[in-house]
Amino acid sequence: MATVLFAGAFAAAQSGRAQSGLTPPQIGFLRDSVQNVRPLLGISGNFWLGDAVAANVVSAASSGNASMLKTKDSLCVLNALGHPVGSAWTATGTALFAFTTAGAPALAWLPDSGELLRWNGTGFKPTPASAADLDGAVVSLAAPDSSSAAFAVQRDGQLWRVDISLLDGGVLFAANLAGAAAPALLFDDGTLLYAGKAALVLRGPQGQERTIAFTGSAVEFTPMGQDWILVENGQPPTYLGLRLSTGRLFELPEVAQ
Amino acid sequence: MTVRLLLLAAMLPLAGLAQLELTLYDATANTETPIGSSLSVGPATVCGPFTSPEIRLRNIGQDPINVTTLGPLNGVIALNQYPLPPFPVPGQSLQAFYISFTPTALGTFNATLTVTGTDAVTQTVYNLNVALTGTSIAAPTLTDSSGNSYCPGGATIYVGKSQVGTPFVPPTTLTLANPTQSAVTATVAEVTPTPGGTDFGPTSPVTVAAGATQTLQLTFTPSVPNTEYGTLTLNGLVYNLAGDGYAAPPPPPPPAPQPTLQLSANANLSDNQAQVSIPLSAAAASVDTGTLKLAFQPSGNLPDDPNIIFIANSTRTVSVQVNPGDTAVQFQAGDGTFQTGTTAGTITFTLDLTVSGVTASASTTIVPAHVALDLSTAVPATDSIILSLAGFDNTHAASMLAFTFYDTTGKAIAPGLIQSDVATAFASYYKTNPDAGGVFNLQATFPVTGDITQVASVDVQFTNPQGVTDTGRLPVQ
Repeated sequence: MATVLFAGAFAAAQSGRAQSGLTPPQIGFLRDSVQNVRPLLGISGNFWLGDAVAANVVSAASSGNASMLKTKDSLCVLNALGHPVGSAWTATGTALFAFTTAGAPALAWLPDSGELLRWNGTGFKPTPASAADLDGAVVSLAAPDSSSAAFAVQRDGQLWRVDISLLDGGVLFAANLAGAAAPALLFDDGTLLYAGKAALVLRGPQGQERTIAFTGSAVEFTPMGQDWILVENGQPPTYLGLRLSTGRLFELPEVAQ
Repeated sequence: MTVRLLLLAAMLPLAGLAQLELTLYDATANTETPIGSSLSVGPATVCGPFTSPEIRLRNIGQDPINVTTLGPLNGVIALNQYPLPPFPVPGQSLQAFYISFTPTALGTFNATLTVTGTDAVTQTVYNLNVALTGTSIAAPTLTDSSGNSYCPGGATIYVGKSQVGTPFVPPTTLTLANPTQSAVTATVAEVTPTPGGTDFGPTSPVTVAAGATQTLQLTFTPSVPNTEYGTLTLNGLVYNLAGDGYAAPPPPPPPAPQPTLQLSANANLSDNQAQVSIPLSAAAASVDTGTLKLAFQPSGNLPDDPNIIFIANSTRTVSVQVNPGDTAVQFQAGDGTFQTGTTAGTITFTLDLTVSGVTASASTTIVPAHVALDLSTAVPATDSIILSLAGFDNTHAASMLAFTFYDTTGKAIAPGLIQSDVATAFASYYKTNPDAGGVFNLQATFPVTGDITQVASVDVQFTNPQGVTDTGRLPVQ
């Protein structure tokens, strides 16, 4: 028989028997239209942007627990508060990122140099993955486990999933993601998000699909928090937040001019 | 011999006088007639001045004569086209000039033509004086009701302005006076008559009997938006008429279509992304620009909610515009989506269109509501359960939290209902986090002794002034 040692959340907190707190809810981090990385705060339907934690960012992604970002020539990892916990000089250009299932930093793909880097908790380390083996343009990157990387690759107008061993760089798996096209976002469990006809489509690992009405023109999908995907829509882009658990899309506030 | 000498002596002054001579030149016959001591000039009328034939001042001697006086130079009777003295007249040569007579009224006018010259060799002075008489004769006259007199070919008689196609009757009239012994006829016409063109009236001739006076009412009907010209011909003399036609004013622009602020159905609910749209009562005919502003008046003593903003720019003002043909006011950025925030109160929208000056407003009131939860989780840790509740309270006045944990059989775990007064904690939170509006994220960690796997669910009740929100049983997972 369990006993809950709790007489009242806040009273307990005061007595030290339980810990509690009230904070503004933070969804995660996103890169805004002027290339700053900012925390996204709020709840579904009521958002606001916090102060920038990084500037001149060309790529960024967040799991909510951690964020990875790429400036012109460096990679950086931020903790949940937006504080840097590690960085590395890299080739120029953009980057794609993948997190572990728990939301920890995992992988960074640098398309300009064809490098796949692995975050080991303190720094980024090279992997034997080769761009040549991918044989296409990388659209998305996921970290299904600690020993492999999963890529969504655009080949001749078709989207493929290609899994690469982080141990030897060998191709572990390659499959045509029929019917899907870029932009797309590959999740660690194999779920794929892509833009279908007048809808966003979430295709589960077993192929089951869920559609979310969407009449825009998605340009890019980026993780920005646990359960949240940033959808860049149109050009110049407006920013939408897709909450995966509810399948609802919200408009995100633009940076105040 | 003596007699001849005496005669010569007596004639010397005469010979001196004869050195200068005035003649009247007939250009047709190419003859000259000496002018004696008097000369009649005319006839002339007030509007019909007289100019004499060429008058020649001849130096019939051999010596040059320096003319020092020639007049009169001004007046009703005066020289015309003359050289200003002093000027020389060589021997056996001439100087031509004219005499004009410009009467200002009926009657007789007199002047004296005076010429003084000095022989450049002998220094003999010569004087000529001719009595000039001019008589003004009666002629028809034209005056307007303001007292202005007009002469043929002189100042233009301005009839006024009229809209194209609209007959205009000037307020002033003309008076024709005919002091002559015979009737005269006045005819009004356009300078260049064209069918359907401008009309000056009256269109029928007006006859004024001998010795009579008659009022003439002009009319003016322009056919083009321009200055138009006409004539009034009176007894063969032409008076100039003019009037201005102007275009019909363009029809007044249709009134600017009236905008209506329409709010989507969810605009009166907190934590919503709602839309404002602005249809127009009719398609716009012209360009307009302006702003749409929102203002928030919180209920009671609640603070402002900074998250009640337009999504497009995270502010409370967006620019709008209207283009011809638009049936709704357009947003220059975004689509009119705004956040309703998480605080009870009234949101008021005000539209100002700067060109048309049209304004419109609309309000929506967000009433106080129960606490709403967006995310509720209860997660077991090694020896505790972590409860997270994210949501909002648009009253900012949550007062009580109550928890009941249940075991896997559905039985409440002792001590059963656990209550906690959270009013102070929430008040402090909202005070220190004004950016949050009514949003909060509560996290509580509950230490557990015993088999934590037996804790299956928790029920949370959240109380604010509007009532109690119950999460139902949240699975501990």
